[in-house]
Amino acid sequence: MFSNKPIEGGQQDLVTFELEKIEKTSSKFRDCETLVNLGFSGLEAYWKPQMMVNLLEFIN
Amino acid sequence: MDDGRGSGGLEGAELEAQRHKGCMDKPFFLLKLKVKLAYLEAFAIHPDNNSYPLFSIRVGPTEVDFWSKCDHDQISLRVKNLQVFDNTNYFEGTLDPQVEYSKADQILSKRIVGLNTAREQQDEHMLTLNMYLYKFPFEARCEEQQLLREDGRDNIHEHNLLLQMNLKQIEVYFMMEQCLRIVDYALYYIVKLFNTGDANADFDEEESSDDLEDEQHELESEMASIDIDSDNEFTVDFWAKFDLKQDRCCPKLALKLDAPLIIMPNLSEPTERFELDFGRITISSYLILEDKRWLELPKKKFFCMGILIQNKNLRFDFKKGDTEREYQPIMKEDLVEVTVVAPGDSPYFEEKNERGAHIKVPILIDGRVLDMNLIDTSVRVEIKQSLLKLHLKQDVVIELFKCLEHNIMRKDDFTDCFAHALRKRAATIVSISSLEGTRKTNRQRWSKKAAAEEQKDDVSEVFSDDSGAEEQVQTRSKLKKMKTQVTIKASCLSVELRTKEDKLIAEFCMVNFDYGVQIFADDVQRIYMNAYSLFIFHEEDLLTRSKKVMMGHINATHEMVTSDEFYLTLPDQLRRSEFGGADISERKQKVGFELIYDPHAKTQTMTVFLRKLKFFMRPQVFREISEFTIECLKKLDIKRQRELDEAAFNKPHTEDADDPLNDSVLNPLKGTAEDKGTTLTMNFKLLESIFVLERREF
Repeated sequence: MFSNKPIEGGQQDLVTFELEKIEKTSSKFRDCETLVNLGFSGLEAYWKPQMMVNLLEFIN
Repeated sequence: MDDGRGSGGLEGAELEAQRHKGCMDKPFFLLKLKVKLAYLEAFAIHPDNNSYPLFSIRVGPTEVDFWSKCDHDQISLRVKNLQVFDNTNYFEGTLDPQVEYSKADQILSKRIVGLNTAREQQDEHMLTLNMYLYKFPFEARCEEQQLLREDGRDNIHEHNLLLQMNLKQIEVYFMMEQCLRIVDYALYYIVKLFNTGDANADFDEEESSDDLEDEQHELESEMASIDIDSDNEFTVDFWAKFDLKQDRCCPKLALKLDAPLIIMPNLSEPTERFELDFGRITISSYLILEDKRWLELPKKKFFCMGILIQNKNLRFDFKKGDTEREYQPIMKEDLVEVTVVAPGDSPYFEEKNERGAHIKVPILIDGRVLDMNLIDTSVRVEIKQSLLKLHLKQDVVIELFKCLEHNIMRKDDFTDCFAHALRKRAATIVSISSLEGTRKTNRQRWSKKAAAEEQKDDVSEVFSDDSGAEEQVQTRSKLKKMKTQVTIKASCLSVELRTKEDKLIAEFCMVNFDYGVQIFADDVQRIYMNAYSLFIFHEEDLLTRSKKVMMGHINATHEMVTSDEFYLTLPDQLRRSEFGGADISERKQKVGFELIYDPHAKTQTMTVFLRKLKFFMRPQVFREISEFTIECLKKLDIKRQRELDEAAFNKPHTEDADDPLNDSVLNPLKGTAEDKGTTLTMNFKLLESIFVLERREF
C-alpha cells in the first residue's frame, strides 16, 4: 500500500522531524520561539478502496 | 455597516495604532511549521480488482508553511508540479502493475492534467497559494491591509479570509469517460471514505421518514394553532427593521490562473486537436449590499458575496501538428467578464435549518411568519461579452464533430465495468448511500407534497373571486422565486459558416443578445434567448466587406457592410448601456426563443417569436446551409452510435431499483424511464414582418 521511494536530489530518509524551542532572550531568537520542521522523502502509495475501509475501521 | 469594533475613541485608536506599529515593526510568530514532501506517486486501484490501476497522481516537490500569529494564521503552499495520468489499460499482462505504471508518462494520450512544459520553465512552481485566516474578522490587520485594499473598493473589515493563488500554465487533456471515471472514483472511493464517520453520526441522528413526516405534521398543526393576526402577517415596518443576521464578511479572493489550456485530442489522429486556451484568468471577490432581494421591500438591503472572473485572451481553435492555421481561429475574445452573486449565509435560510435541508419549515418571529418565498435567495451568474464571433469552417466543424464523438459521446470498453464496480462496492463500503437514499425519498415525498399543496392553492384560486387577490400575488411571488439564474449578455453574437475554401455560406448575427437559464424553487426550468434583431448574411464581397442580407431588421437594406466593427455601425440607441449606449428593454426585443420545462407536470413549452423582420427570398442560401449540415453529419459515425444506443436500450436492466447509486444518480444527464411521456408544445409567432421577392439577374 505504501513504500518509501527516495528520488535524486530529494530527501533520502523516510521522515525527518525537528523541533526547536528558542528562548526570547537567546541570541538565536529572531521572531519565533517554536520552530517545527517536518520532511518526507519520495513516497509511493496504492489507494485500494476496500483496504482503506478496513484500515479506517481498524483506526476507529 | 457596523464593523463590530464599536465607536472606538482615543484609547481604542491608540491601542490599534500601537498594535499596527508593533506588527509592522517586528512581526511576532507563535509557531512556525514547515512541511516538505520530496515526491508522491499515488495509484488509484480499481475497486473490484486489486491489481488494476485506474489513474495515478504524481506530485512533485511540495512545501507547506504554517505560521501562527497573534491575530491570524497564515498557510503557504507551493507545488512544483502535479500530474494526473489515466491508466485504464486492461489488456493482458497488466496484472503486474509495476510494468504498466512506469509507462504511463510515456504515453501522451494518457496524460490528463499536467504543467504545460512547452511554455513553462522547469524551475517555476505550478501552484502557489497563500491563505490568511483571521481569528478576529473585524480586527485591524497589519501587512495584509495593502493587499486587501488593492482594488480600492474593499473595506478590509469585510473579509475573514484572504486567499491568494497563482496557478501556472497547466494543460488538461479532456476525454469525457476518463475524466468522469476519475471524478467518480474521487467522490465515491476517496472523499466519502473520510466522511464515513460523519455520515454514520448523521445516520444515527437521522430520523426515520415516518418521524420526519410526523414532525412536519406537528409543525403544521402548531402553525395552525397559533393565532396569527392577518395584519401582522406581513407588517412592512417590522420586516423593514428585521435583521436576517447574514454574514457580514466574506473571503477575499485574489486568484490568478495563467493560461490554463484544455485540449480535446482526436484520438484517431494524434496530431489533430482542439485547444481552448483561457488566456489569463483573475478571480476576485467582494461584499455587496443588494436591493430588490426582498420582493415586498425593494429598498431593504441584503448581503451578498460577489465574485468577479475576468478572462483575457480567450481562444478556441483547431490545431494540426505544430503549424499555425492560416485561417481565423474559431473563437478569439479579448475580454470576457463573469460575475457570480451569491447570497450571504443566514441562520434563517432553508439550507441552514437543522431540521432538514429540504423541508420547508415556517419560521415564526414574534408571532409573524417569515416567508422565505418573499426573499430572493437565488445565485446569479452573468457573463458579459462585447462581440462574440464564431468562425466555423466546414472541415473544422467536421473535425469538431469527430472529436466530440470520440471524446464525449462514445463510451469506451471499461465504462460498464467501472460503473458496475461503483454500484456494487459503494453500497457496501459506506452506509452513506443508504443515508442518501433516505434523504432522497424524503426529498421526493416533500416535493410531491409541496406540489400537491400548490395545486390545491391554485384550485382554490380559480374558484375564489376578490378574496383570492392576495393569494394570487403570493403565488406569483412563489413562481418568481429562483434558485439559480445564469445570464449571458453579448452586444453581438455572430456565427459564420464557411466552406473548406473559406468561402462564406451564411452568417447568423444576433444583435444585443441575451441568453439565460433560470431554475425556479419548484424545479421548473426556463431557457430563453432574446435579441434586438436577427440577421442572416451571405455572399461576402471581400473588397467592400459587404454581405447580402437574407434576413434582417425591418429597416435593413439588401446589402450591408459587416466587418468586425459591424456592431459599432449600429445606432447608439441600440447598444447596451454597459457598452456605451442604451439598454434594450424587453419590449424592443424582436427575436426570442423560450423553453420552459416543468418536471412535475412533465411538460415542455417552446415558444419562438420573430417580429419586425425583413426576409429576402433567397432559397439558394437554405440549400447551401442544408448541404453544409448534411456534409458535416455524413462524416459522423451516426449508424454505429445508433447501434450502440439501441444495444444499451435493449440491454436488460438488472440493477436494484432502490439502489441510490443507479445510473441516473451517477450520471444525471442520462435519461430515465420517467422521462418518457413528456409533452412538448410548440408556439411559433411571426409578426409585423415583410417578405421581399427580388428579381435577380444571373
